[in-house]
Amino acid sequence: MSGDPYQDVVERARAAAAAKRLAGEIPDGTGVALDRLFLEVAPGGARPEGDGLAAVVDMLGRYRFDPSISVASGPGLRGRLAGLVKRGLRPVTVWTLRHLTDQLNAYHLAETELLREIVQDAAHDAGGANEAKSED
Amino acid sequence: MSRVFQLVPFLERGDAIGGHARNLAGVFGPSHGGFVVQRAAPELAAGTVRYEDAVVAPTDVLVYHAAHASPLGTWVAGVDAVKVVDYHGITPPEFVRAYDPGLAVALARARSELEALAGQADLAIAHSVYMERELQEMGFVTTATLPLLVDPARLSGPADESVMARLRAGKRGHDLLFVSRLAPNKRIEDLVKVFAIYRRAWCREARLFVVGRPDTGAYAETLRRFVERLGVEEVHFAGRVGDAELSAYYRCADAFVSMSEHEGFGLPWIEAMSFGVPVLAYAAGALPETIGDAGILFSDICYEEVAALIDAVLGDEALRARLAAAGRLRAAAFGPLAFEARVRELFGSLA
Repeated sequence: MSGDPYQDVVERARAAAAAKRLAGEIPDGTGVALDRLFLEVAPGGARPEGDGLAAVVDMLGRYRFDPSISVASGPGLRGRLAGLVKRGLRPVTVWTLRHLTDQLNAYHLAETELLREIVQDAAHDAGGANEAKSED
Repeated sequence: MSRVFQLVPFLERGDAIGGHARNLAGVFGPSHGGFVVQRAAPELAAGTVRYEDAVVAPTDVLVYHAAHASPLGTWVAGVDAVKVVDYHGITPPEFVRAYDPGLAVALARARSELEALAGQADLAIAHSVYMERELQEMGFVTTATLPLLVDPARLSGPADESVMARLRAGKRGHDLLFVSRLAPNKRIEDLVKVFAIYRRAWCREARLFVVGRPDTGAYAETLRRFVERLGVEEVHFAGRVGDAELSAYYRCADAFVSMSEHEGFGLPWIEAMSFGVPVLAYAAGALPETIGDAGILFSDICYEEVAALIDAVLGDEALRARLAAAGRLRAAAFGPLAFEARVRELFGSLA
């Protein structure tokens, strides 16, 4: 954290947060757990956690094709009517599209696993190359 | 001064771009030739002309308010006149792609349309140095900054009594406020995470109010689901509100907290300061230059430390008073006199 005119309060806050962690009032890994929880409810393409190819593959892995249409609607009578129609249509769209989304999801899962393997292999190869370099 | 026409793709009431355009019109006075629009709210339609029907002379000054993809961008490119781009910021598409792919495409198109004007604009105006750099990266050569007007009169009227009464009746602990569109770049999920920790470890009676219209329905829905899954209480999404209601939220807030990652200026941050509300913000985009030394900026996203910072500020009466005074002073610097002087300086050279 920065902000020179208020450095005192920033330092106090940092110490207070550390004390709460030490006392167990804020369990270790709370921030990471909160990030994960958000990603569980966010759409598949929402920002990846962390950087690099592995994070992007994780993001891809969370993506699912969903046969349900959104029932969100705008305000007013027109919005309520649109919402009613969408809610009425929802079971029909799920029934008609499910067979297609199941296939797409299966294909997507296989593709993601393949990419994960490629990323892991590339990371492994890069690690090996670095070791070889350091031995030179 | 030559005649000045303002090109506003969507002229709407309560919209920041429309408000800024009307503020400019006030300074231009009789030189203001009117608004050229793609669409205008019915109550604002008087004094507007659709872009297909507009007739302009080569000596006219056209101020194009750029923020959306619009046929006005193409139209202005083909017109012979003095051209000024007033850049309101285009959210980078990657922020919204997951929530609204259509909007992401529209934002990318808006940026391309704007880039195409780079070689033609006689002047390109941004509302912060941060945004001015973006214009320069797009290829605009003659650029300048014009901070937005924070009109003290707009929110100085009586606050909505029913909202005030409701907020006061339910108050047991500290009330945190954030005012902005519900858009993914605002990182409202991070604010909810901070709030959840603050409520659990520091102030069990705290409440969080988020005021602003959803930019994308999917993001608003994701936030609702997140709050539900987290099981945190007292998170209130107020939606879009009028000036009197907004004034009530500012008056009742103990702190304005922001985790936003991309801001071109930060009007609500200044509004909060004008009410003496302490501002704590993640130092992103134009916020450091807008807020200056009148608020607390942090550059690490550590939810526990931000929660602790809120507690440290709200528990220190002397600091709160210092921030309130500095905030009011800062807000006054964005008042009508400074705005008018800057507009005259920028447009005087084009006349």
